[in-house]
Amino acid sequence: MTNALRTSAGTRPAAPAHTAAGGLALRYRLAVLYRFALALAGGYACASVTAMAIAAAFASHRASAAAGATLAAFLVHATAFIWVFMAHSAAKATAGMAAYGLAIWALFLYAGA
Amino acid sequence: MRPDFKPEGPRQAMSWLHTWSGLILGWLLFAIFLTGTLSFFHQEITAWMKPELHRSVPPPDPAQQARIAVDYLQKRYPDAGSWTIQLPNERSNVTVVTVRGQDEDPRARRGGTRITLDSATGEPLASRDTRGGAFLFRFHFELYGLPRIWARWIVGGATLFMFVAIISGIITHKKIFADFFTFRPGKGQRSWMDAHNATAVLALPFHIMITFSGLLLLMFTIMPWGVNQVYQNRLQFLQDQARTVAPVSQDSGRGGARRAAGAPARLADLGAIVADAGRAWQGAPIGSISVIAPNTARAQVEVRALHGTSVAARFSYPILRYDGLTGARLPEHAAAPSPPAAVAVYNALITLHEGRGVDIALRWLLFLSGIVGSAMVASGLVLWCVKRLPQQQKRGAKSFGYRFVEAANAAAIAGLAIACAAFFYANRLLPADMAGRADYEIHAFFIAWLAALAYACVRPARQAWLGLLATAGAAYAVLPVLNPLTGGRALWDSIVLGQWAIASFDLACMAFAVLFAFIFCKLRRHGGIAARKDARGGMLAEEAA
Amino acid sequence: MRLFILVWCACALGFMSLAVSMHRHQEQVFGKCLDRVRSRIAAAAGWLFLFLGLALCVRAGAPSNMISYWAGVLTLAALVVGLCLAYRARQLPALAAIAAIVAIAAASVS
Repeated sequence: MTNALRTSAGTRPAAPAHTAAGGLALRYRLAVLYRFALALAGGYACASVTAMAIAAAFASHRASAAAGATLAAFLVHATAFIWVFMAHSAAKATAGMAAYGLAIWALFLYAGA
Repeated sequence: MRPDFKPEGPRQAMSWLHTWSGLILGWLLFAIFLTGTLSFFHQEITAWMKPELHRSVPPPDPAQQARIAVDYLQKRYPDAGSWTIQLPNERSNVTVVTVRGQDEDPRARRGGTRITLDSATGEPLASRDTRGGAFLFRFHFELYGLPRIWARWIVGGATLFMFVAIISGIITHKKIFADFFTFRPGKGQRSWMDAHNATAVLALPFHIMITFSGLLLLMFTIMPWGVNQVYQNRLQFLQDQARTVAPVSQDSGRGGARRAAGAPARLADLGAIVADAGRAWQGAPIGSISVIAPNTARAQVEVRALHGTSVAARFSYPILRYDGLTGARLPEHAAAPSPPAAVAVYNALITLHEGRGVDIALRWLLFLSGIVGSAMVASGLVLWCVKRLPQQQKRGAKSFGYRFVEAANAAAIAGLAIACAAFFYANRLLPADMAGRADYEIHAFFIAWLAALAYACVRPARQAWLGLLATAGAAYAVLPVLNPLTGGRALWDSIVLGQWAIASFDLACMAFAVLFAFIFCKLRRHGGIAARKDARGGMLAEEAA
Repeated sequence: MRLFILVWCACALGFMSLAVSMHRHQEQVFGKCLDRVRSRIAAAAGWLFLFLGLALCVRAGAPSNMISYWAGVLTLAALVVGLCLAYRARQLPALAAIAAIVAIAAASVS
């Protein structure tokens, strides 16, 4: 692997992709694990808060609220999952998820009031 | 995600995600998908697995079917609180009556004494102890041997991965319309890719529906927060959901309240009532007849259609009510308003997923789409191996990861087919009066699956596939022969007598046998793993899966 | 059964038309590419046939059920057309003729 000092994003040098033994670098494996964990757990958190927020917002139409909230929640989780792996860096992925989570949490608090 | 952490375009990122979200739980997903597909016909599977019931040949007229059932009930349970008669239909060749006591809720879904009757003679039939199709149905969302909640979380997680795989697959598939009909046979990796694309795109609406609705069906376990925000518990939500499609009624008769026994009175002729209902519904099949407080002055008869009103109206079936003494049709309740949009979408998705109340034509289409979906998962798993074969061959010996996936593919795909066959063989070969035979049938399923896994581990991939495919093909070919030899109704008889529940099982077995034989022949003809260099000196591999 | 035959034939004809509106499949079926006008007509006819199938479905029962039914028939029709293109592309016009004849026969049997 050549040592490209500037990637197209211009952020950091390319990391060595393989260890001397030929397996994938530990850093890479951990990065993949982090993204999956973020997608699963962070996505689930975002989805759950979305469900609560929508249900609270439409609480007067109970059945619709519950059904609609759950439909939206699963869509949010799937979208979050896709987003985490589309994002160019783990930091961006985490930041985006956190931003959404906080916004929807604020919405929930407002709607529940 | 690239090992060198360089940023990549969305298509590349989604291609990576699609591969891994598909592979990690791919074998579990195939098992869920295939057993789920078979579950569309779980009633027919159970019917085949109870050969003692094959002797029942229903008379063609529903009125006569009803009269035969009532004769039995009048003789044995004249003082019951309620009777429910499930007439035979396109999916069942027996009559099932449920008897409830004076203070039991006539509309409850559980409870009461269930008796299976011969539809022609009215005599009760006893059948062997077996889980039947219900085992495959339960397995596909609760697996087996695990605590229920864990299993639902695992299946839920797998379903999420599948949904992500579908979305990432759509994003990454560049020419989804231009490639719609593209299938180039005999070109190794390209053919497998075409097959995976075709089976995915041709039934894409189904795949999206079945996966998303799978998540919804598990929502009380994995995403209850929406429901819990506005309801105390799930029961309240379910009641509300039912209320959105229930016709406006004055006398709901629910709650199992004790009904004061009326004075004895003659019950109207149920045959005439059934005939009237048939005319009113213009031949749409009748599902069941409930007689509440039979042989009393308060008797009421409810006739329920076999097929639901609409998948958007869950659990809603056309119902006609009759006076139990005069047989006169009571005025119909005002039709229910359509459910609100969110509830309708939710209803439609989960009702389609379960195939609840849908007619036989739609059921076969759902089943076919499920087979296509199973082929999609299987071809994806095989594609993963075929794609990496050239680089594995360059290394000399196959890596552990590759070997693992190879063996797991054969065991998960062909092995599961063998496991199902073993389940059916055990059903017929174990003695009918053996204690605990229902569990032993299930053990046979898992033992056969494990044996297939062991075989796939010790044999080279190509030999393993050939051996397992040959076993599966032979097993399914012999099953329709085993059927009459072990007390069941032979295929030619079941077709002539119109017992389609039993006939379709045998016909499906034959179709699967042909499918496995075809794949076996194709694989054998394509020869072994041959590597050849192309003009530029690179390596290509012949199709070897 | 009659509904199924009509809808399947409509969807199959639709997919066959859509297929021959694409250069790749024109070469498979006719051995040459067709001009743009013909391709456009084929595409339009294709969509028309597919929506004819949908219309036949929706007239026959509850909309949610029948749309699902249509989607299922689309899958089966696309499978057959795809396999025909893969293995017997030259015979596609014959398959179209058969589908048309069967559909007309089914439609006349009331």
